[in-house]
Amino acid sequence: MGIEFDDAAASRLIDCGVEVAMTLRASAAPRQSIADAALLDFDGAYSRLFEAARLTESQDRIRLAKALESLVEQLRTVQRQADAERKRLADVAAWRQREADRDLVRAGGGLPLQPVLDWSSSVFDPEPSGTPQRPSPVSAVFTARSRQRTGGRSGGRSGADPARLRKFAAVARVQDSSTEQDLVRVRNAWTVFRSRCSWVPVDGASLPGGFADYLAENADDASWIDRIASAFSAAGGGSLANAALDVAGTSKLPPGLQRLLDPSLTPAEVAAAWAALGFTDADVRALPLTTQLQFAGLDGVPAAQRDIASRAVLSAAVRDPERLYRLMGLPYTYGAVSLDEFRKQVVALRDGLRDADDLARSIPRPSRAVAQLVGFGVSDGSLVAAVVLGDLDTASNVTVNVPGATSAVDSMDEKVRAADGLLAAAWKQRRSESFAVVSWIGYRAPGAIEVPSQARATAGGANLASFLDGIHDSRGSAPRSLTVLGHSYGSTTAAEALAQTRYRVDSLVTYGSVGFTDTTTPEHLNVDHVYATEGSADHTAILGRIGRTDPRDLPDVDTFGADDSAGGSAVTGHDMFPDSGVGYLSRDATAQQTIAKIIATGKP
Amino acid sequence: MMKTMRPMLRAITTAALTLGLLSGCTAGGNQMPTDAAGLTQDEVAEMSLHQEFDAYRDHYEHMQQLLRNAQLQVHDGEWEWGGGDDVPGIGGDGVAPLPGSDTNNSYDMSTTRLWSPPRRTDQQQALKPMIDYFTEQGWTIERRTITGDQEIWATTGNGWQIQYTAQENGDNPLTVYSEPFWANDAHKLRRAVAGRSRADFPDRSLPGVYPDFPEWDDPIINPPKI
Repeated sequence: MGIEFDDAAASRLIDCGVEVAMTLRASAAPRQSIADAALLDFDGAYSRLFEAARLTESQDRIRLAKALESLVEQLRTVQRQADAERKRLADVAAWRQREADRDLVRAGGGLPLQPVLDWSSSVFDPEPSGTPQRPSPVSAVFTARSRQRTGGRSGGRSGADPARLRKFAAVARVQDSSTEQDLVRVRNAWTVFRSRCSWVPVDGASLPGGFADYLAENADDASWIDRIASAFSAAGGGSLANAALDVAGTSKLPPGLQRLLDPSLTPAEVAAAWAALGFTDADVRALPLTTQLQFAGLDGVPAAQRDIASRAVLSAAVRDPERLYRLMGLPYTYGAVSLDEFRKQVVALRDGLRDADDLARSIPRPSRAVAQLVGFGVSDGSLVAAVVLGDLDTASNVTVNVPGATSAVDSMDEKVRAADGLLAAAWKQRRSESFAVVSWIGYRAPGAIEVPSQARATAGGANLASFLDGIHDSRGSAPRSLTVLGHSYGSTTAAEALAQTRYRVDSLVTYGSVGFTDTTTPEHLNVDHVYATEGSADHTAILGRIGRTDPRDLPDVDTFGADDSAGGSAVTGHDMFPDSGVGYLSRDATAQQTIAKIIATGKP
Repeated sequence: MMKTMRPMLRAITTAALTLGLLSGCTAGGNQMPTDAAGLTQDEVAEMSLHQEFDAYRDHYEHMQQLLRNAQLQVHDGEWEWGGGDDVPGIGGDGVAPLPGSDTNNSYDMSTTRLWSPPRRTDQQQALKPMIDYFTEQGWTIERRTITGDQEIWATTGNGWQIQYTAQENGDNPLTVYSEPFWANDAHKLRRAVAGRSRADFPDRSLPGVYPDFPEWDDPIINPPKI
């Protein structure tokens, strides 16, 4: 008999807690610096409100980091206790076995030998302790404080430079969008820990909720400062009465929409807020661009409505790239895509989406002949987007294909063509099924030299977990089949995601994988089947596997071929879908045909 | 409105155009890669979008004839449609190489129909009538087996390939593929066709029955969604 304690789940939460606490502490100085810049030329009661809000934010940030560090220490303690308890249980079991063996000797030797045997076993092999090691209760406690944002009673006037305030809001949003990924990771790791480590009693669990409240306060701050900046701009400079700023600073968004756009919501909470809002397609079209930009990224909203908002934002980005570049906070994001690159990428994504729209006209029934842009925005300074062939809201069979290193949204046309081939091949295998294939470029893929690092997979895994859970939550039910495909580093990212998802996925298929870490091996993943393939002409995947394990070498992973077969061609390299040569998802590749069969039937 | 065959006139016009372009080729010299219609990229460069559209329509009609003739070898009843087939596919990754082609300067075509024999037959037996037909035509034949499915693949030698599969699950899909065609701007050609397409492909139809292909003079009824 063992104890209900999964070491990998605890380690995952520890790693996550350490990294997020460190990130929170490291981001304090940049936040302070940009707030100080905003305070230049900012005077009056509103500058004091801003300073007070900044101080609360800063203190809460450090309290949150400390709460995470405390949690990490407690988890390390219970890990040691779990080790001790497992050892004790093993000792007891071994002793009982030895005792049983001695009983046999006693039975064979008769009564005269019994006192001698009893004496020798009590001296040389005493019974181990029968008292179980009790785990210390774990407490994960943090509560965010609310911040005051009106100063009407002062009766005086305030003045500020609106450009500085807007820059503060933009930079804060960029920083917070990265912290949102951290929240998703903490929340998911905490949920997995609670479900797999029930041996450990939990005294307090307010930290994930408090973390979310902290981010919601930050988002309110950014929106508040934007509104104050707009009021100063509209006034043409100079000072404004505090009472006027009280009016301008109050959110104009209705409470339901405010709730929906709260960045700390889980996909399930987003789905509930969306249902309560009762918006039509026309309502989504009528939203201001800044709201559409937030809306486009909401996992948990139905794909049809995300498509409307995402297309509106992409169209605006093609028309006025400078404006969208600023709106997305990219000028203030370290390592972000340049404006020139932004221009190229949005045009290429628009062209890829047009191709998807045209290809979708040929999608066989009963699948819906549509293409959807499900999300268009920024993650870690990169443009991200997902394009679906088919209807993600209704398809009975959903596939999400995750590309690897160096992928960006300007390669969407290639990913969409690969998806088109998969959908056509899968339809032949199960024509009664309605399919949707998502080309998901929803994370900042690593550059070639970043591949050995797990950082991009960790951040991308949080995004993907949220996207996958959002599919279930927005539909209100699971698709009949959900398959995740991971190419190269995309498989590493997909494994990170499947260690966190709330809903189970039917199959994970890796092709040309750069490997899994110790905490993302199949037994830790929320998936029924893991399949893996790699071609013998693929000499790149192995180079990326430093410190990671080839999934084909893991137990519980079924492998299949990617070389020449009686029905298909061998891959000629590492690519997913090259213009020349054979890639894993090229139309005639052995790997593509096998993957299509897994999508359709669940097995190769 | 459905029809079974297209007027010959357009085919003759296109054939004449093709011949005219071919006759303009230099004899000897460097061999330029030719597409599924036997044209070089330079020859296609002489064509207007309108001419490319009309040539595409002729390819489409030819693809339907190839499909119909193959269908009738195994089943003269209704076949299920494997999606719409009137919009040009994106080139660069076709069933045959075309050196220098990419997604912007080439396209290809394909059409799929599927039927299920009422009684499960041996997969090899199911393929036999099609093998006999391909052999009669003098086409190159290749047999393939993939994940338990048996298929026969014919290459006509003049720009087309035909795949017929007897699947383990009892379904028998038939697909006609074109090899790549050059285009001056594949996106523009695709838009020209998709913009006029009524996308009213049926769920199932008899061999040789398919919706009218749009005319160049038809209005654009599907503008880009973005």
